[in-house]
This record gives sequence, C-alpha cells and structure tokens, in this order.
Amino acid sequence: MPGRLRSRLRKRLDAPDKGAFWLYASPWIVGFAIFSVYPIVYSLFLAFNEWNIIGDKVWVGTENFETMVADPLFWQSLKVTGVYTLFAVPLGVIMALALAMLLNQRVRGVNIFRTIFYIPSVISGVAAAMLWAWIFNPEFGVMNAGLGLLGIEGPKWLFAQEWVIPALVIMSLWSVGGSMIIYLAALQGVPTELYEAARVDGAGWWSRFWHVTLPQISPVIFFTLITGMINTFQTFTQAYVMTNGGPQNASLFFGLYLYNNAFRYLKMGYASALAWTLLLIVLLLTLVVFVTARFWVHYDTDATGGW
Amino acid sequence: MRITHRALISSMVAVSLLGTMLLGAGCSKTEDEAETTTSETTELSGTIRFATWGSESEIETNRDVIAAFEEANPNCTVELEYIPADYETKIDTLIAGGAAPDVIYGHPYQLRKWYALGALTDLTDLYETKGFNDDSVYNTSFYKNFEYEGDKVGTINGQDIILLYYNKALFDAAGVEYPSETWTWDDFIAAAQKLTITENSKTTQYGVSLGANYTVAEVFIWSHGGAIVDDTYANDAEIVVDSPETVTALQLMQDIVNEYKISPTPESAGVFGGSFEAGNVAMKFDGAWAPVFLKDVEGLDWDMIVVPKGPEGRRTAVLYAGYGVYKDSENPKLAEEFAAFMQSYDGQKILAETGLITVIHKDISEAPEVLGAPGMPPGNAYRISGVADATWRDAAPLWWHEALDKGFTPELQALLNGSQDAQTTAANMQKLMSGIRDQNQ
Repeated sequence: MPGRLRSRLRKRLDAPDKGAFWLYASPWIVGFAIFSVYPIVYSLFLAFNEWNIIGDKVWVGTENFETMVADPLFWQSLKVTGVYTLFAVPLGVIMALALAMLLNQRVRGVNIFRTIFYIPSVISGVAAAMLWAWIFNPEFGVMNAGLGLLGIEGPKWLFAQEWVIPALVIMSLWSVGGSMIIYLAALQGVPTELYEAARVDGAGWWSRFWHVTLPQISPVIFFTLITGMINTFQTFTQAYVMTNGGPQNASLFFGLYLYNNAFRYLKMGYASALAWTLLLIVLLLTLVVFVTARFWVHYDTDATGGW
Repeated sequence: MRITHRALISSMVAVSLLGTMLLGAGCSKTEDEAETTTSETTELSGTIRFATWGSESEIETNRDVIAAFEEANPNCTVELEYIPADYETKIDTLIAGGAAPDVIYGHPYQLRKWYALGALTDLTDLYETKGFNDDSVYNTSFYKNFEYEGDKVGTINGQDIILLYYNKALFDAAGVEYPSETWTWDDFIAAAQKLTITENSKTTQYGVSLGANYTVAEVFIWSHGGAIVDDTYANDAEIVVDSPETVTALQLMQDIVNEYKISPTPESAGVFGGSFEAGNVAMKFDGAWAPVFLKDVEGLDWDMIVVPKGPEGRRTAVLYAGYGVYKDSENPKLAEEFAAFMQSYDGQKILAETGLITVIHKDISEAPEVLGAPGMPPGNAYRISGVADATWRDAAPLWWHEALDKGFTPELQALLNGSQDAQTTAANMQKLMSGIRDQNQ
C-alpha cells in the first residue's frame, strides 16, 4: 500500500505540476536561502575571522578556536549546559511520558486536563521566565512558601550557585506539554490486541508497560530525546531573563555566553566559532544516541503501521 | 511537456522577481543618500532621529527639549526613538546595519566605543564654535572622558557622582547621629552596626546593602589607595587590582557583609526582601540621580551626603552621559546642531528640570532653584561639591566591560557571599582581567 502510494506521488511530481511545485515553494526556498543558508555559511566564514560588526573583517585562521580552548568561561558554559541537559532531558522524557499515560485514561473531563497540561508549552519563553522568577523568589515565592508548609526551609534558588541549575531544571519540567502530546498520540497508536495478548499471557501492569508500551513507543522516545537534547543545548531565554548567567557564572549557558560575545563584546568571529563548536558537539551527541538506538528502539513497522 | 516548461519558467520569474525586490530594497538607500547629499544646503531643515533610554519623566523632558529645539529651528523635525531595554545592543546592531539614529545618547564608554569603531563624528570643531571649552561656563574637569585619542566623541549632558543616602527616621529611632562629612569607614561601620536589627536570629533591618557592583567597589578601593587599572585614560592600561591596598578594601567590604553582618550578602539581598526604599535598610550607595525616585517614595524621610573617607581620603565614582553624532547621518549639520543644543544653556535648563541629571552647565546645575527643587533634601548640594573627589567610574580600554563582566563581578560576588577571601579574590581578578586584556590588546 505505501509503495503504491509512493509511486503514485512520484508520478504526480514528474507530471506537468512539477513547475507549479517550485513556483509555490519558491517564497519559502528564497527565504530559507537568504535568512538561513546564507547566515549559516557566512558564520562559518566568520569563525575564522575577527570582526566587531562595524569595522573590517580580519582573517585570523584558527585563532578563535585556540582562544576557546584556553577560555575558562567556554568550559564553564559547556559544563553548565551539559549538566542542565543531563538532568532536564531525561527528567523531561519521564515527566512527559508519565503525564501522557495519566491523560490516556478514560476519565471524565480528560480533555480539560490535557489542555491544562499543554497550555504552558504555548506560553512565551520570556513570560514564563518572569513568572518562574517570582515562583523561585526565596522570600515571597510560592515554591518556598509551599516548602515552608512542610517545615522545610527552602534554598535561595536563583541566587545560590548550587541551586540555580536545579531550579531551571524544575522550571523546564513545567513545559513538557509539547512532548506529552506526542507521547499521547503514540500511546493511542499502540494496538490494543498487543495488550490483550499480554493480559492473556498473565502480564501485570508493569510487565505490560515494560514489554509492550515502552518498545512500541520507543521510536517516539528516541525522537523526543534527540529534539530535547538539541533544544536544551540551545537554552538561552531563562539565563538571559532570570539570572544573566549568575550567580558567579553558575548559570552561564552556552547560548548566553555566545550571545554575550557576539552582542556585548562585539566579537562576532569568536561567537561564530562558539556556534560551530556547539553544532559539532550536538552533532556528535546525536550520533551517539543514534548508534545506541539500535539497542533500544524498536521499529515494528507491521504492527504500528509505519514508524 | 510544454506546460512543464512554462511552469518552470514562471517559477523562475517569480524567484527572480523576489530577488529583484530584495536587491531594490538594498539599493534604495544609496539612492536616498545620493539625493540628500546633493540637496544639502546651509539652511537647517529636514528630519533627524534621536535615540535615548530613560524613565518616563526623562522621556517627557526629552520631548520638551525637542519641542524647544524645533521652535528655534522651524523647518526641522527631531524624531525621538525610545529604546527602553538592551540599549547598547540595539545601537550596535543599528550601526552595523547602517541604519543608526542621527544623534545617539550614551555613556562615555559607549560613545568612545562607537567612535573607535568609526560610527561617530569628531565634534572637536563643534566644541570650539559653540564655546563648550569655556570652563567659566561648563564644568570641564572630566571632558577627557568624552575624548578618544584627542577627538571629541560627543556633547555632554551631565555628570552624576555616587553618594551616601540615609534614612533619617531609622537613625533617629536608633539614636544614631546622622552621617557627616568627616565620617570615615569606621564611623560608617559603627553606625551601621547600631542600625542593624536582629530578632530571633533573623535580621529584620540592615545598616546598609552592598551589592556586587563595581562602581561601589571602586569607592572602597580608591579610598584605600588601590585601583583596578593603572591609568584610567590609557587604551592599553594594565590591571593592578591585586595591590595590598585593594586587598584591604576588599577585606573591608567582605567584613561589612560577613563579619559585622550589617549588610545582606548579594545572595540574600534578594531573599531578605528589604530595601532602602522599603524602609528597612538604613543606608545605601547610589548615584546622584536617585533623589528623583526617592522623593516620590511615600513616608520615606531621607537625606544624602558624600561617601565616607578612607586612609587615602574620600574618593567617589562619577558617571557621565552625552550625545554622539552618527557619521553616516543624512543630515549631519542638523544632527550636530541638535547634539549641541543638548549642551547649550536652553537645552540644559530643560534637562535639569527633572532633577535627575547634574547638568554640565554650571549656572544651571548650581542654581538654588535646581538644587532646592521640590522634594530635594538639603544634602542635594553635595552632588556638586562632591565632584571634586570623583574619578570616572569606567576606564578607557575597549575591553573594560568585558574584563569587568568576566573577571571582576563574579569574583566580587564570591567575596561578598563569603565563599573566598580578599587575597584570593584580588588574585583571581588580576589573573582573569589581565587575561581579557591580553586577549584583546
């Protein structure tokens, strides 16, 4: 069936409409070329230059990359971003999956709950950051007021070196609605006959989850893991709005450091070198996840209808 | 097959049309430029853009100045571009895009940077023709801040020093005498100790609040004979922040927070939830612009005075702002005239009305009706006399703010939070800031 569809599509594309396709796609193609491809290629060129935006560019070879290796703040920002990713991404996957499973129950008003949990992910990043800055306010914030009720004296959150990253991780869990929706769709795509068969074999809830649900939705977990990782490596808004990298550079995310170099210190060349280094790091990590995927991602095309 | 061909051609036409539009957009500017250059006349006319930041009342004042300027120059229009946040980045980007405003408000370090990058006009001749170099009219003692390699990078709006603000009601309640001009750091600490109130191991009132702020740190460092750079005005200044004098000053700052506990740490300043304005911090260091905001705080009984003396006397920091003229302005004559108007008697008179800025024109800034404007305390006069003890808070090198960001502020935070001693702090600052210097030099 898919094969026949594909050949039919191919036939259509070969047909006279091919020109119309290019016509209709051209605004996007032109825009993409000018506003995405060109800046990307140009930034690669800039990475080997020294440029303060206004003056002339000076070719410096690999000097920017040599500076980077010797720059303690480069390593600090890499560490901050790495640690944040290490916690935010797996916790995000677990949280989104748990929520999706809860919202996959047949209960009254489930759509209302689905909406409620999805709403945070459509809120603008800056607004969310402002909101959470208040929640984390050590003296007046909801977070410490809640902990106070339990008899716990809450930490200083965004003002404390050791708590600022945990605080931002907690905040990131608030907006898992996007991946939650994807999991929900995946969960509903798991064939019920698999669960029935498992039940007949005497599998309990945990067994069904471990041996049926997880393998069936593993391609989706794989997808959210990759996109989540790429996103967290680009974290910027929270650090820019809430902490400005502080206290003592404890929340100096890679994205913020890159921005500071580009627009605060006007070192476009160095910032471009940072950007390309980030790309290489993310690419490498993505490849690692891809390589491991064969051990835990199940592409059971027959049962799921073409993942 | 024929239709494919036609569709393909039409799509190519569409793409090239789009391309042309973009090219057109790029070219139109040059045409405009050509037009204005030819139509330029000696008579002032046309429209310029003026970019500034500021509070609401400052913007109002700026509108008043613009109105006065437009009245004096009938055929001219000044468009105010208000940039409330990320000002420097926005101007950087506008300059990079060749679309900067004609007149740009800025601190000297910003104007010097833009000048060094080739984006501003040299105003040396303008200073001559407008008589700005007359030191009987203007307070010229810090004109150097607005120079880059001898060239004038902008006209000057005013100067503001750091002063000590105190809450009279809290002093009265604690039975402590108000600060005086003879105060040393020891007097300051003794008073702050009496003004700090701790109940059930929780501090409900602090004597002072020291933030991790380089300008306040400079007040401490300089009054002990220390410094951050060896020569404020040298573009290749050396970092000298690890001197024993600086270590002593940093130690004092740390003691105020961690030993005497008369100030919250920067970490807990947010936690404590108090402030000078809220009436539970008895003193604060702030710029001479603060009265404008303090006068409207209901129930706050306050005054201001010069900062305490150290072993090397009294030193305070001074900030400036002024107006640069964009080099590629399409109406440079008008832009220069407007920048000059800001420093002229008529412009300065209006600018002084808010009480926010200590304008550079002596007659105006020292006028009794300006110093004693409604809501201003007796100590407001110190904003003038205190300038004698002031040093520019910034330094000439273009890497100065990068060095502060990366090497000074985080270390100062660590010092005040009590996580590292003064010796280590000074050593780290020296190493990190020198690293930035060497990288950029």
